[in-house]
Amino acid sequence: MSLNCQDAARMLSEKRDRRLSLRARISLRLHMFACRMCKVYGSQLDTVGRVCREAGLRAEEKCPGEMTDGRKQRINDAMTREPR
Amino acid sequence: MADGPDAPSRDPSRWVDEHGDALFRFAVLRVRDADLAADLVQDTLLSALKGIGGFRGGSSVRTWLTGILKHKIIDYYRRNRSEVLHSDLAPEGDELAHAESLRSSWKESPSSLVENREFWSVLTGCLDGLPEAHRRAFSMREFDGLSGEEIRKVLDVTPTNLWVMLHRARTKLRRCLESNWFEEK
Ligand SMILES: [Zn+2]
Repeated sequence: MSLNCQDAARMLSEKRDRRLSLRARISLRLHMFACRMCKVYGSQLDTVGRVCREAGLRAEEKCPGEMTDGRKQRINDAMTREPR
Repeated sequence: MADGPDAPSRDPSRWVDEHGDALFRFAVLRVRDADLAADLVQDTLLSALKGIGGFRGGSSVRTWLTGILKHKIIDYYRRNRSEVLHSDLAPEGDELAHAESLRSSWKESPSSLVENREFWSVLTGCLDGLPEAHRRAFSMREFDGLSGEEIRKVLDVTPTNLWVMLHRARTKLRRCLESNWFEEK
C-alpha cells in the first residue's frame, strides 16, 4: 500500500498530465509527507515545467540559432516562384 | 482594413527578413534540427502566401505566422511518426527516477533563466539527449501546453505509453539540468 520513491516519482510526473485517482492522490500525499527527497523532486519537476513553458513562449527571441543567408535566399526564391 | 502601423509586415516580400529568424528559432527549439526547422519555416511562409486573404489583422502578422508554423510542426510529427523504440518504454530497471544527490530546490525564476544565453545552450543540449519520440511528446506538452489527449492522437500512442514517455523525458531532463546547470551554479 505504501509507495516507494520510484512510484512516487512516476505519479509526480503523471499528475502533471492527468487527474490521479483518489487512492493514488492519498498515497502520494502520505509519501510526500514523509519523504523530503520526493518533495524536492516534485518541486524540481514544477520548475522544469515552468521554465519550459517560458522557453516555449520566448523561443522566437531567445532560442539560439538563425537561418543562413543562403537558406533565406532559397525561401525568398520559392516565394517569388509561388503563383499569387 | 486600413493600413495600420504594421502594414509593411503584410508585404510578403519582407516576411523572411522580418520574421524568418524568429520563426526559425521557434521551430528549432521544438524539432532540434536546423534543416528541418528551415524547411518548416519555408512551408509556413508558402502556405501563408497562399492564404494571405485569410489574414484579417486583429493579431499581428507574426502571431498569425507562428500559428501556421505550430500546425506545420504537428503535421510533420503526424506524417513522420518516429519509431517508439521498445527499449524506450521498457521498465526503468533499478535506476531511481531521482538522484540520491537531490540537494535543494531550484530557486532561479523561469523568467530570469530564459534571459540567459548559457542556460539556453544547456537546455537545448539536454533536449538533444532525449529519444526523438520522448522529445516530441515533451515538447508538445511542456513548451506548447497541449493536452495529453491531443498529443496521443498526434503520436498515435496509448495513454499509458504517453505517460511513460513524458515521465522518462522529465526524469532525464531534470537530471541533465541539475548536473549541467543548477549544480554548476
Ligand atoms: Zn520518496
